[in-house]
Amino acid sequence: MKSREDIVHMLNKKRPGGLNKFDKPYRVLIVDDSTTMRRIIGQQLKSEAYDICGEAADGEEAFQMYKELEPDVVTLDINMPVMDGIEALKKILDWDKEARILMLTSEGQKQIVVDAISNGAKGHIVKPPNKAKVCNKVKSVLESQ
Amino acid sequence: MDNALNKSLIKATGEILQSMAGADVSCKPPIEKTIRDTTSETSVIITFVGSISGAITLKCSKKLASMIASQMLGMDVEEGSDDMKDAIGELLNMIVGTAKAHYSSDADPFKISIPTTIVGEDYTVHIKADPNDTISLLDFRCNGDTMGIEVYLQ
Repeated sequence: MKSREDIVHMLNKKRPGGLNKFDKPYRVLIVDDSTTMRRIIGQQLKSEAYDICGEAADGEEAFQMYKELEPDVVTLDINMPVMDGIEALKKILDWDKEARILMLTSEGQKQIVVDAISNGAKGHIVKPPNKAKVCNKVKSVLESQ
Repeated sequence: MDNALNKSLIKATGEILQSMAGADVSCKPPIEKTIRDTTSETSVIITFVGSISGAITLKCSKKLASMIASQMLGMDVEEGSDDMKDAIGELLNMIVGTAKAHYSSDADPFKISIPTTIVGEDYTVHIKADPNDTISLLDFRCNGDTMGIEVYLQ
């Protein structure tokens, strides 16, 4: 059984961004129709100890996987076949209004970002994904519970 | 020749290759040539339509494409593999997307297609155009190898 000191130490120690206070990895669902983009973002997050619990290539698959996996956070591309990111955002939030979703956008998509935020996205990441920015954005969304 | 578009593409190529593949890139001044069929071991084509319309083709060796893909994905990528084709296609997608933002303050100056990647030794890329139309050639040097971006405007 952990002592009080051990617990305080555990709660206060510096840890990779992807681990919560109990040293359990946060679980991320990555959604993008580009295999390359999913891999790049996955690697960036794994390097900070996040657990990539699933990947989806379109909005419909993202919704189904969200229901099954209940991730802590979702990174969600906008332009995808079958169902785009804005529709997927709405569908996931209808299912779980507490869902934490970060949109993946390209430069110059200001209006899309505004639409996404007004529909409940917690923020956005501009492509190409920079590791520090991706990890910081995901972390800040998780910490603003 | 659209100098603003060429400048945007040159700037975007440098930024993307540095951030995604850690590669330093240099580019000669753009030159204009009469359009003609081209070939390369690896070609990626994106078309675009809007206030300006046309096609952008990236050409490079399989060796360079697999090196860039390996850097992007953080793993060894075999020449000619699906991973290489996906990654090099995504590279041009990011370059053109970033160039679009540099090019114009308009919300959406043009829409871009998904990339098409071709790998092989015995093919040519033919863009349907008037035979007297011209293309801009952007000649890059990347990690000791050459990479070309050709810009055709309708």
